[in-house]
Parts: sequence; C-alpha cells; structure tokens
Amino acid sequence: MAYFPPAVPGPEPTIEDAVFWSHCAKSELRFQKCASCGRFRHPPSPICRYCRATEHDWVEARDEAELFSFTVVNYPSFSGIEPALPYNVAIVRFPSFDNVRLVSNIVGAEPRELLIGSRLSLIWEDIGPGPKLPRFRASA
Amino acid sequence: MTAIRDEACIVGLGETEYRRWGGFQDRSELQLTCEAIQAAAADAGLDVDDIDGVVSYAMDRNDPAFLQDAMGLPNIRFASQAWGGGGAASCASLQHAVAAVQSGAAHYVAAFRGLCQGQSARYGKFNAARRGNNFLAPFGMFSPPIMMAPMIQRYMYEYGVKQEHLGEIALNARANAHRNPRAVMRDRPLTMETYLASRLIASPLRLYDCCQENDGACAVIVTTLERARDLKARPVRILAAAHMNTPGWGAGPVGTHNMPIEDYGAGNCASVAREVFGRAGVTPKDIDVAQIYDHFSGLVLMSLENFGFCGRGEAGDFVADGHIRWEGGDLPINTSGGHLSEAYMHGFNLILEGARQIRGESTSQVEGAEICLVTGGSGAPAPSAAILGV
Repeated sequence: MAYFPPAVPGPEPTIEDAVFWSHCAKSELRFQKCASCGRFRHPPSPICRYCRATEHDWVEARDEAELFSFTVVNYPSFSGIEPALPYNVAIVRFPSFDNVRLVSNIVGAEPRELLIGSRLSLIWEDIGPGPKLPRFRASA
Repeated sequence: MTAIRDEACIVGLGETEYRRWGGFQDRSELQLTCEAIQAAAADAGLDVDDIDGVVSYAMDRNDPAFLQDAMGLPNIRFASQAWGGGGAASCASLQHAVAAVQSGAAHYVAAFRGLCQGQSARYGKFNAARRGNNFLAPFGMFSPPIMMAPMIQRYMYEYGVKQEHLGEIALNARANAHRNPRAVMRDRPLTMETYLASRLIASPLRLYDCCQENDGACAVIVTTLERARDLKARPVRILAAAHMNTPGWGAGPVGTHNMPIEDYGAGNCASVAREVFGRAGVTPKDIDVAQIYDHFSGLVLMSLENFGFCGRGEAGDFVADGHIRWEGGDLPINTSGGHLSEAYMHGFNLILEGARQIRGESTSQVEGAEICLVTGGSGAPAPSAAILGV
C-alpha cells in the first residue's frame, strides 16, 4: 500500500533535478558528487558550493542511511492527506556521502518506533506515472 | 561613522486591529495596509503626502504601485522589498529604510506588513509554488510546522531540551498578552497542563508551540534624527538592522534540510547576530528587552543561544529559570505576546513592540529599557535583526 493517498503530488522534474528523478525511475538513488573536489551535494545544483566546479558524477547510495531526525504529523495541511494521519516525515542522513540528507518517510513503523540514529533500508514506492519515490524501512 | 543627525530612527507607529485568520471580511488587505501607514504618519505628526519611500519584505501583496494609487502618494521615489520567505526579512525592511534615508534617496520611508490570509492563501497550508517542492511535497512536507519540526526534534535530542521548555515560551507569551488589549489571545488563559494536553501538530510541536495565523496590518515611519526633530513623536534610534544567512545554510529547513550538519539544530541566526551586534556596537549583555521571532516555540530557544544570551544547548534551562519573564526576569521577551499570543504579522508587530519599549509605552513595560533587540525569522532563510535604542 502506498504511504500517501494518490492526491499527494509526485515530483514534476525541473531542469535542475531531472537527472536525479531519472535515476529514481530506475530504482537508483544517486547523489551528485563534484568531479573536481569530490564533495557530495543535495539537492541537485549546477555548481559545487565548495569549489564552484560544474562537472559532476552521480554516485549510487545503497545501504548507508540513518535516521537523523523526524516529525510525526497529525494535522492536515494538504487537502486529501487526512487518511494518512498521523504520518512521519524523516530526515535521512547518508554518513558516507558527506552527510547529505534526503527528506523521506519511514514505512511500517509506529511513531514510538522512530529512533534518531537508527539504521534504515531503502525501498522504492511506485506511485503511478512519473518517477518512483525513495522511502525507507527500519533495518532488521 | 554616520553623523548623529543622519542616524536613522523610527518616528511613527501604526497598526490596525488584529484578528484571527479570516477575521476581516469587511475591509481589504490593501485598505488595512493604507490605514496602518496613515496611522503611523499621524503618530509621527507627518503629512501622509511627505511619505516618499515604501518598503516591505517577502511576498507582500501590497506593492508600491497599488499603495501609491490607493493613498494618492505624490512622490514615491524609493521602493523595495527584502528577499526571503515569510517574516524572515521583517527587520531587513528597516535596513532598506535606513539605507534610503541615509543616502538621501527618500526622507520619510513607510515600512509595513499587510496580511489578510483570509483573502488570499493561508501560510500554514501547502503552497504549490514553493521552489524545491519536488523533494518535499511527495514526502508530506507541506507547510512550515512540518519543515521546522525535525530541526527542533534534533535540537531537543542533542541537548536534552524538554517539552516543558518549549511550553515556557508559549506560557510567557500568553502571560504578556493578558496585559495587552491588542493581543488576539488576551482573554485566553493557558496553563502548562493545557499546553501539554494540546493536540499534536507535528512532533514535537503542539498547538500552542505554533504561532497564530492572523489578519491585520502594521507600519512604521523611518527618517533621520535631524528630520525627526520637526516631528512630534519621540524618535527610536535604529542602532543597526541586518539580514544574513549562515554560510552553507541555503534554503535549510524549508528545503531539503542540508544546512551544515553542525548547525542543524542551531536556528540559522549566528551570522545575523554577529552582524547586528557588531554594527550596533553593543553586546548581548546590553540588551534590556527582546522581541524574538516566535513562529515556533523551539526556534525561540535556538535564537536565545544564537544571539548570545546563553550557551549552545542551554536555552531550555535558561527559560526554566525565569530569565525571559516580564516579572522578575533579566531579559523579558515578547512583551506584547508575540506571534504566539498577540498576532502573527510576519514579524512586523514585533518591531512596533520593540519601539514601544524604547518609548516607554508597552503594556509590559520594562523599566528603563534603553536597548531592545528585535529578530526576524530563524531557521528559514534569511533571518534579520534590528537593535533599537533611545
């Protein structure tokens, strides 16, 4: 079952983030890595903030995720979200990718089971047309 | 060094009644904005025709062309809007006004916020036009409370800050609002028990941790000390006004939360604090009273640390010890009730309250207050701050 009702919008790729989402369509979570200084960055941006180079690679992140912070949401600020309440929004950290963080969700977890610092496993959710979404589960 | 006569000051304060979100159906946001600006001019003893500059910030809908037309202002020769979302740039509007009057671009600048969310979009709801939404909305991060909550959660986790510490921010605001007839929440008591039992919005934020959403308008007139001598109101000096993001912060919590990890739970005000204190030539110890931007309780704690009133991670104990209370505290904050309990005018009503403290006119007047800090935003890019003085 999808984490959110279909009313919740999926990504509409822009010139700045289309490559990220094209990887997601193939179930690949890849972050931008500067080809000059080697630092990772997210969200996608045209220029490295550390060395101002534009050349970059896209490196795949698999099982390096950790719960950095989260919130359990219990009010509807989007029309159509009501059936999903309460839901969580997680800040997922990738320590071996210069600590880049991804905003996502932890599926299959009760609010009291959300623990900062816990290890997470990537899963892919197909929300219909458009790219698949990277979400997470607590690692066994 | 600016000559004394060229120093900038606030000479007029004007505001409409504040009501809860959707509370004005009989007057438009534009009308309320004009009323606030006219009230500020009247307070200063200034002819409205002499207003030759207008400034606001971040997405104000009342742009100068409409104001000029509506009020028949004959000589608008300076107009600007400071960047940043919501109320982050509230005090940056003062910075623009100061630059205008000191450069001679304008002589009397009206800085303002008009806000009727009942006539447009609610700030606490999903905004499809938000840049970077692709990384937020598909994951349920729709609105400011959800965006700020993980930052506050991490801050509490790192420093052992308790829910009751957040609650003290809400209770302090409410206690001050009880003395303020303008405050929307003036007659609504709040206890720690009620606070702790209030409904969860986005953990750790409960209902009373989140600012209200209100309708109304407020404005100030800025000019130089030299010109203020011909006006009737006692001038409130703007010792400094600044507007800065922390390096690497980017969109921070209203984006993908990729601000520098060591600053994650730190509120984004360290840079602007350094800047505003440095330019004003004062230190945190000199501040008699402060109006700290209170969109969310936990961010007030971070601001107290960022602006140097206590050390990193110490704000929970600092507020628990009573420092921020009007009665008995050495740093009373949010003496009008702030956004949590007076009204949420995107930071601008905090500037009016700061000026009232310097004029000695607050309903929670701090005796002998000579220097007041006002902050604009925190967390979101790019926060601003101003230091007002006698």
